[in-house]
Amino acid sequence: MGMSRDDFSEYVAARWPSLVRSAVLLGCTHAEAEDLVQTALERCLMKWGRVQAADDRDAYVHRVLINIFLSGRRRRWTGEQPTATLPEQAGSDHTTSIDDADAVMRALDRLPSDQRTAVVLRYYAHLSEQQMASVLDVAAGTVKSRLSRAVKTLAQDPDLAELRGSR
Amino acid sequence: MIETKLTELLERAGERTDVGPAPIEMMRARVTRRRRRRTVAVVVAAAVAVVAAVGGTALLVRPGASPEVSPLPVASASPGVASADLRLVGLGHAAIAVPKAWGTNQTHCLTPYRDTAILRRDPHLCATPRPLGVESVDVGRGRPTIFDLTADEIIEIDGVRAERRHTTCVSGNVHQVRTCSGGVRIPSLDVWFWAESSTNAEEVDRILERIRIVPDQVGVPDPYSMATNGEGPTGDTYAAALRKLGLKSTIRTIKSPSYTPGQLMAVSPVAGTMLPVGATVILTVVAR
Repeated sequence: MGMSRDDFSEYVAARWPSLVRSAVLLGCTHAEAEDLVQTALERCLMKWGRVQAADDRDAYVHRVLINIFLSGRRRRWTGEQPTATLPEQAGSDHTTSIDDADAVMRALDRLPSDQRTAVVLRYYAHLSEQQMASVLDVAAGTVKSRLSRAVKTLAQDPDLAELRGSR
Repeated sequence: MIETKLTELLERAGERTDVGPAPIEMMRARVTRRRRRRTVAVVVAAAVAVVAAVGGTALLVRPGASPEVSPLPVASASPGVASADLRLVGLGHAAIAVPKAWGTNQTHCLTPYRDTAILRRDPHLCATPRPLGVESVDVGRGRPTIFDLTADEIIEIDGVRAERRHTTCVSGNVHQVRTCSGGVRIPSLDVWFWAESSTNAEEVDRILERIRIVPDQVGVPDPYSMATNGEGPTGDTYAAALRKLGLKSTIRTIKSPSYTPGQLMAVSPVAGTMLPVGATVILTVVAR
């Protein structure tokens, strides 16, 4: 038990920042991202033995994270409530729209969610296409085609083109 | 070409998010809580099954038995049920089932420091943070002095009208511990329950769902609630209160030069314990 506790702590300490940032790149606000990752890691801790036994620990954790993320998005849609006054929302800071990071976030915002997820898992979380197929529970060919379409769209994205041109 | 650049762009975008340290201890506390809750749920489910079986048999044997009394699993006299990991804490005929592992009155500076049922908070006014992952429920009579139990909703518990104060969460100004709380008041029985959790709001709701009306049992009253001018009740006064509730008393005396003869020093079982009507409470009283 002690070993699995230490193991969990070590894993979380090492992966927490990149998992939270992955969630932000997927489209969560900072607070949502921390909640999402915390929930995912708690679920993993509940069955940490299974995580330890998994062939690919990162793929396992990402799979849990993506599943919660997607089910949260579905719930959010059906849970929308009409409101007289719009609540303040954290989002991209438009006053710094020239910022590279904002350009990237805007480009990601324009991608369909399955392509955005694929881009983040491949190019930020550094999962292989095989790992992604397991995480997303789709065929390896589907991963390839999503990535290919996403990369094509991003290559034509005006914000990113400007960014590349400026470098 | 963009593929080679994407990783760099994403990493730069990601770095814009300042990430604090991972709340590992909070995660552990929440998981521990969830595991414990699962165990309790399994035990309660098993207990319900036992009570259903026992109740069914009783009805077969005694067709005239009153069906409206819905015994709480943990309150049952069935030996199988008594081994459940819950115990009842209450006043009068209203009670709440809490895990047996919970303490009683485990507070310091008015603040619970571990999972506990509370009949009386440690009254010292001082500031101490509530640890993360601590659950508690206060049980009292009359108007609560430190909780706002204004009714948000009328509910029914075992056929009795009750008022529910919705669960809300606030972060402490000084220690930033997020604590959720909510309550239930049963006006006809003059009993209220106030649950707090530094885990999450769902815990509060779950605690309050375990309130029951138990007509065949009664809670041992809190002697401190009968204190006048800072002095506890006499054995006679407390024994009279017990009689009113349908409980009996046995008096044990101790010699003490420091206390007034006749004064009540202790009760056993402790205040808040639910006893069958007619059971005996042992009072320790200063010899005259």
